Amino acid sequence: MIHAQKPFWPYLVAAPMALSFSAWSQTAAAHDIDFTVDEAAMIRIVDANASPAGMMNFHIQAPAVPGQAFPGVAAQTAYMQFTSVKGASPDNVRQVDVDLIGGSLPAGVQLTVSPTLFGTGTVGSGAPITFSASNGTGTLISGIQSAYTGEGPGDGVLLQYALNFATQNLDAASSGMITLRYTISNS
Amino acid sequence: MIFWEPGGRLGALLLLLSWAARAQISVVNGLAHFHPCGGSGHGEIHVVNSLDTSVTVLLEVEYVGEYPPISIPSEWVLEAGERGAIPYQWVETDSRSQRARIEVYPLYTAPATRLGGWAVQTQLRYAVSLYRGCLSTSPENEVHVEWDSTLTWQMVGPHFWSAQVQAYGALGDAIATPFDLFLAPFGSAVSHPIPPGTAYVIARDSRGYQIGCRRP
Repeated sequence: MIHAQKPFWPYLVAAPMALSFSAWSQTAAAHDIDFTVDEAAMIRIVDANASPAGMMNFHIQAPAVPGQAFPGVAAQTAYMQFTSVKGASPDNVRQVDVDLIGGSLPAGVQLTVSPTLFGTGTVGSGAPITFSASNGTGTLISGIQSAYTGEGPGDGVLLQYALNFATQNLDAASSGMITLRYTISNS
Repeated sequence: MIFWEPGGRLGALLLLLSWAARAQISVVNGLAHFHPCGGSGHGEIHVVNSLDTSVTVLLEVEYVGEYPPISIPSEWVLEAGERGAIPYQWVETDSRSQRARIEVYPLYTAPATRLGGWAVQTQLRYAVSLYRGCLSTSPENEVHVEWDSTLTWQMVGPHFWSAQVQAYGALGDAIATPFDLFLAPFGSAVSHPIPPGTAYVIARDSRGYQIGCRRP
């Protein structure tokens, strides 16, 4: 945050001078500017329509022929839209981490979140995170400085969610909910 | 939060990714605040609610030690479109180096569930790092620099240090743009790539203290 503030006494000196000058000349003017830049961190996750709420459905369906393994499911996508204006150190670089904070994936089932970065400015660099029974955290984007992704449909960091599994690890008696938490912080 | 429901049909698991993160808040005065010793012991976290409904903002303090070094409300209600300044106060305002991390997030409602489904709920959170302490006046003694494939800086003393790092070529010409360096006395190190052609680097703070490091 930048906040420039000038002392008041120069105005007391300058005011009478300005009044006298203005009687015969008005060729120049000056005034102090007090400005503030928001050191903003704004983030949301939207669907392809830029709607902040939605739903993705993955159907893990039986194969067509007995004896076959379950076919894989197509990856789904979402978009992370953000606006970031960095400040002076220590808030000059930011990152987005993702934690699996609720639930867990059954052994042998993995959920991979892969980012593809789009935006204007220094949007940083991305790395995929694979969540599994043994891993529940990772850094998705690092090196964010001042940047924005846009807010419309298709704008933002493309997040691809891919589910990987082996048929022998599936259990139809199980279903569930897991919670992924995205955290933006300074690096 | 996870739940597993019985009754799914054999061969048909339904995985639902539910984007329940409807609440939309932003932090607009930075994700890290440093309070030099001798200054005031209080600050604010500015949060904006961009929705047309009120939002309850929850705040959690992460800290190391027996008690939180920060006093801050645990909950703050923002009306539609409101920009709020959530105050915090360092409990101890002596010269000791301190840190805390404030987790800022909206209150999420319980997600809808679907029989036979598997859902992933998404939440968003802001982490604001707070530091308080004295800046080093002898970085040459307190800052450790290691020149390897990257340049790694570490504060080994009890103070903070904030400086700008500039890389130079063999003829003393500045290479690349300088970058900000912030070192905290808690053991963490800061690494960054070395621009090609760098012969030495100099880190200078705003008070004139500086240290240099030559390519080994």
